[in-house]
Amino acid sequence: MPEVVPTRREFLTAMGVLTAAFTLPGFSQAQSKALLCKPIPGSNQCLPVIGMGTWQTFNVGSSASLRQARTLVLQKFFELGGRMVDCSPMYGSSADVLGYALQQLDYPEALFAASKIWTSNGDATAEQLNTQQNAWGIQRFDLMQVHNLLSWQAHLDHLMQLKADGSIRYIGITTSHGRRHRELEHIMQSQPLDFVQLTYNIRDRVVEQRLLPLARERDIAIIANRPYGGGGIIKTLQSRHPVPAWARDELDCRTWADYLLKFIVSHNAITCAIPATTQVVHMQENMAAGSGTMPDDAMRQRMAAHVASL
Amino acid sequence: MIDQWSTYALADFVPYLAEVYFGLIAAANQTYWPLHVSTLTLGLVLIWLGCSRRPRLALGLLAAVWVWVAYSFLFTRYAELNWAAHWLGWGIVAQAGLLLLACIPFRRLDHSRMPATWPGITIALFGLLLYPLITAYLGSSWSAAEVFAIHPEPTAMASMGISLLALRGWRLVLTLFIPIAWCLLASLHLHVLEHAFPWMPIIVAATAILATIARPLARDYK
Repeated sequence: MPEVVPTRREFLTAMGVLTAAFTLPGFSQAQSKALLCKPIPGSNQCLPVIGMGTWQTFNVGSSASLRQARTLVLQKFFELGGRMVDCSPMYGSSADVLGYALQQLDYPEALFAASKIWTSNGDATAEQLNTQQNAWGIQRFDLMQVHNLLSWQAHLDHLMQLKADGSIRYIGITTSHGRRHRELEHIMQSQPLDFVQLTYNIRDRVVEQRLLPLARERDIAIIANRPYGGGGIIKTLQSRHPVPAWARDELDCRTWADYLLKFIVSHNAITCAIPATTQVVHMQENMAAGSGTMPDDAMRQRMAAHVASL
Repeated sequence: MIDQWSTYALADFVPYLAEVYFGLIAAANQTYWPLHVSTLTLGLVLIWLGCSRRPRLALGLLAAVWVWVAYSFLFTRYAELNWAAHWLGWGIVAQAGLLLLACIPFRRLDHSRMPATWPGITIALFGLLLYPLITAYLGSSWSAAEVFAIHPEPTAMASMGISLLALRGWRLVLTLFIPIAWCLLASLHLHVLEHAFPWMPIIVAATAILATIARPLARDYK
């Protein structure tokens, strides 16, 4: 076999790539600590445990500077291995801003696009789906959910048809703030859902009793919204208390974001959490929580007890 | 549908962060400056017209101001942020309609009773002059000032004052209803946004209500 000698240009290019691999923060993190992925039940796909929500954070209207700032947040999200981005027509201009940001980033292949149907008009499912697709600038959503159970019967029927014809890949339903759990339980028991989105965090754990076990039983993926309680939980903890030393030592919890998100995503029924943020540094903290040591059940109880005692 | 809405919290109707909303306020100021000089002048003229017993002209011009605020702020800028903006905009357009309705001369407008001059002037001047100064101070910038005929809150406040000057009886109540409701919503909105002093609009509205109620009582004691 003839000896292959690299040209000077090929050698320098290879050195550049290796240098980038060891110096770019996202790249090094990906190399050293991979983001934990969990399978979507009933499929051969898996999702990173940290996704991104857009409630309030991406609703910035036509402000060019704020749109650019959100683009940087989304860029960091994808750089650090993120996939699921969640939005809704209820979130003002968030879908348009997401579409702007995705276009700036040339539509990363890793994107797992999740949005919602939010209209009382049960016949407007496809129309709102199309509107959202146009706003995002994408051909197809991975996941479409009925938002806050609004007209769920009609919308779920239409979503099932859209899934059957390949227009969407997964269907789901959402609630938040602990609303209408009894009705949600009935829907989970009776409907072929792929995903359910609900509120679950270290202070709001009511879903552990019935809905999370039911999701495991029915092979439904769970997305945890409001992981920081709308920001109130993490702000209070950050301003008043340090992360406990045992959490730093045993769980790699350098920040309260680590602590709060690891608690959530380590539950065996949770597929991913979707914290929202406006800042690149907070996105880095959020994504860091999806790697490293994860707490077992005993440690999770200790984490919850500690926060409850504060 | 009602039981659906009853499950929503107040914060669910504010789908944006405070910095973005107050950025909208500033952007409107930047776009329309130096229209502020004209709107201040117009506001003073409306107070004078109300005091000089030319209510129809005052109310007609005030109706035009409301329509302008609905278009320039709610239907355009605020609609980017909030799905409810169009409903709120039409509510403001309805206020313009009510002001015009109050002008209809079913009979000659009765000015025989002592008008609520000072409460009306005070409330109108608060909306016209003091509220912009207070909002600029709280926002640490002139661009944070909320101004009559450009932003809805000071428009609602000045509108209540001018109605108190120009109208009586059912016409007055008709033209106070929407501005009072607006001030209530505004205070709740500012509370959700964690504003430093969210209760200013509702205090002004309460003052207008008291001025309206107190007027017949004052007459009874004459």
